[in-house]
Amino acid sequence: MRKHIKTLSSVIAILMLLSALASCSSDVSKVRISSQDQAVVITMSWWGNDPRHEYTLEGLSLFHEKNPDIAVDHSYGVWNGYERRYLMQMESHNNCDVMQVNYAWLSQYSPDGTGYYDINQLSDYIDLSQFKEEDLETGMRNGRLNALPIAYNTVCLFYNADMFASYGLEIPKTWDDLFDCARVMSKDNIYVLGMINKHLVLFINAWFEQSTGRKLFDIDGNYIGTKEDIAMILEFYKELTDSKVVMPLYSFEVSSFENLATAGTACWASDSIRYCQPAVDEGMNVVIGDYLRINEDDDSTWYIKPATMFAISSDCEYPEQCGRLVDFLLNDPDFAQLQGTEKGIPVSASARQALLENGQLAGIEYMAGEFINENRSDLLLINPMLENSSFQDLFKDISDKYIYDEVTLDEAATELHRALLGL
Amino acid sequence: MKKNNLRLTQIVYSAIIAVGVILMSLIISSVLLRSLRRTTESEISYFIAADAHQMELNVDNYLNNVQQVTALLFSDKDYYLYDATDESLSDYQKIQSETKILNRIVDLGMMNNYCDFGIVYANDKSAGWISQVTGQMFKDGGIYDYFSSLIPEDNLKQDAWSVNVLGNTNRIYYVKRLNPNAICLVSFYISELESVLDVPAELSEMNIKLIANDNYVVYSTNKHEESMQLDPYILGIIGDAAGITAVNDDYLITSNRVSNGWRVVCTMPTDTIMAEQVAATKTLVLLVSLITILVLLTIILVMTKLNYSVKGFVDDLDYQAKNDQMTGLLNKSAFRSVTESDLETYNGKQAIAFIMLDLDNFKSVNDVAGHKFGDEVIKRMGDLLREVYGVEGAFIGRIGGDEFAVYKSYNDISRQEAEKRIHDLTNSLYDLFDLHFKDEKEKYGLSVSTGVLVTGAGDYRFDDLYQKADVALYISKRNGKSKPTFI
Repeated sequence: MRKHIKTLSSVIAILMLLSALASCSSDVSKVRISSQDQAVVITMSWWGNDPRHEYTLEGLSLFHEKNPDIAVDHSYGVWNGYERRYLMQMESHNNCDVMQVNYAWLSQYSPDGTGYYDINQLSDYIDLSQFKEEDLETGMRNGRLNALPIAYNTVCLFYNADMFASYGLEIPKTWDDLFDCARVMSKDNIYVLGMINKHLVLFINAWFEQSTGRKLFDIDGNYIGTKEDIAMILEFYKELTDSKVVMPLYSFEVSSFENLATAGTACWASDSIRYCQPAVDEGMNVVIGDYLRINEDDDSTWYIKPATMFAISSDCEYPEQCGRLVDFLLNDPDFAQLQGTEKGIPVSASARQALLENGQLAGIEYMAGEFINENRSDLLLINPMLENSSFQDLFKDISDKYIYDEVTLDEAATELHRALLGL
Repeated sequence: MKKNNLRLTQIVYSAIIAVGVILMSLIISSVLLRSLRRTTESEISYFIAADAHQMELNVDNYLNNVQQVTALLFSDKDYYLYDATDESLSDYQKIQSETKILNRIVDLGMMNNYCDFGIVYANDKSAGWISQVTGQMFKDGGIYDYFSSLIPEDNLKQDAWSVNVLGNTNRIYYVKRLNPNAICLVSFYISELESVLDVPAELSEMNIKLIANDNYVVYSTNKHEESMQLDPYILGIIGDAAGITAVNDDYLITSNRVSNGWRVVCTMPTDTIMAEQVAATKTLVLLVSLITILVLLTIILVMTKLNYSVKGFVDDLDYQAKNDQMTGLLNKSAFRSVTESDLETYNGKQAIAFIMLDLDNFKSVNDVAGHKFGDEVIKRMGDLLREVYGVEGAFIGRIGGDEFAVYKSYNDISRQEAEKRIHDLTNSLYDLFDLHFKDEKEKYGLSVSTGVLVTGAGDYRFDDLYQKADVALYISKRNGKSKPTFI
């Protein structure tokens, strides 16, 4: 009997042990720690219009698919006002990690080359071999590679060839041609050209430099003009508007060229989609005119610049991840196809090859890009001050007073000259 | 017969216990599973409802931010009272006013990623940022009338939200009236909501939708659902309700209303959220099955052990009740019982032998050699009787201290043949006794007297046979012992 009790006790003990083991799995007194798989978050900012926003957002989704360990938080806006946002971000050190930057900003925010990350240090993550030395040189500041160019850009003059033909006019080659055309077209209340302020400043500056051989800013960005120079510029501007060569800024809209209110438009090659594609879509024969000169045989003074560039914040927390994003944005064939030629023909060889293979080197932007390539040797790298928004805003505010007869030429020239001296 | 009943009883009881254990296991499992499912559903519903509420707050926060930023245009009359259709203003005055407004919009526009942030006037002129896409949508005019008409007249705030504007499915528009001839138009990409309605990695199976008033799917984590009507199945469950969590076998659904009247609807397949519960169920079923099997094995083991124990115990008791412990022969009671039973049974018997035996001078053995030795002698005598009469299949009993009896019925031989066989055996007994008990015979005068009765078949009772054989034994004792008397 004692043996039976022993056997029974053993079975009960086994059952209790099993129960204890089972209950161990729900022991809440033990701390259980599991890691959270979270991607590194970096930030990126850009400016542009709807197409750029859309393909960039799509591209960032694609980047995250290819790099699940990196999430990109983004900030974007239109150019008009973006520069102020950028200034605020840079001055408050709240700028994004990866930034689309304007060529002019390199000298403004990184005079000694330390304002942006030295991209040379990220050559393990960014394939710099896709860029020629002269391309890399555009982003160099004091021996440090501050930014990489996406494409090259210049102000192009787009004309509605059909309209000129209908008036029996040739596409203008000199400044005088513009006025000749205006005399004919203005009878129908048509302006020869329409443009926004930032293009107008460069447009008039070209005339000024060709006419005088002088410059408003030296190589370091210092204002070196005179009151007489400013008066000359303002007077020419008023002549352009009074002669209906250039549509008043207030009246000019993106659709003016498409709506036949102007026979042409001046804009960055990279803006050609925005300003010219609707006209092309309407069936107009849009052509690119030569750079205007005083005389046809003169050497022209027009400028080229990197269309936009990518830079990395000097104090970014994740340089490697930022490098991988920049490489994607510049060299990845898939992103290149999304981007197309919206910013111009890509500088990166791999991106350009991707567009070639995909049949995307076509259209108005490609035409503008080819125009830049053909005239590259005659084009100078732009003085960053000419793109300085303060300079451009001052010019608009004061020139408006003169154009609308609120002040005299002398008063306007004096005010703008003083303002530029204090810039 | 009694053994078979006992066996049957054991099987029935074992079966009842086994069925009971299985039923109890099933009941416990069922109760635990039901409880576990309800607890899991309740807990998950709670957390998902909390998450859905957070989504609602996120959307509210985002939309409110757009509204608040727009409202900042009311910080200065120059922003919201300016009327571009006012013919009394010169171009220069308009430029000045619009430049001031643009500067304000530039400042406000930094607050978010906007596609449009501008003021549209009754003459379709605009100030600020009106995007290329929006401009192209109204390239033939009518932008002011279209957006102005979205604002209900009875809306005190004089604002409205809109999606799918002229087929544009990728942005959300917000419009707010600034003055009778001006509205502020703001838009942002629907994709901006990805960061607002972000699905936690831990809830990757969750689908989140932003639903407009007409059940148009503004945003969904499943892009294929965007710009469509809400799935009728989901709509059938939640209707127009908000602030609810619904669960059925297919989905767990939450519906939360945001400040502009739209709803955030989260759905999650029930299978997914109950996956852990299913895993827990499997573990529980496995555990209960294991315990049930162990309990059943234990019962079988215990029953088997108890069965053997009881059977052995009963057999022991039976044996002890029937047999003499010292010799292993039948005791007097058992001997009488089996003999009477045989006598009562008609089995065609032809002859009956009944032998009484008594050890002569056994008292001297006990007195001289001790009781222990005496017991040994009795035991050896039992062995001798089994050796002599056991081969015949006879009943052999110890009916007194040194008295023995043998009973044998024959149904295959005649009385004469039986007499001869019994006589031969009895004579051989004496030969063997002399051989086995030579020392005891010499030292203590130990011998054996027998009374042997062999009869034909008849209606005999035990007492009859016992008495006659006992007389024959008495005769042997009287005639000098150590001899048989045959009658």
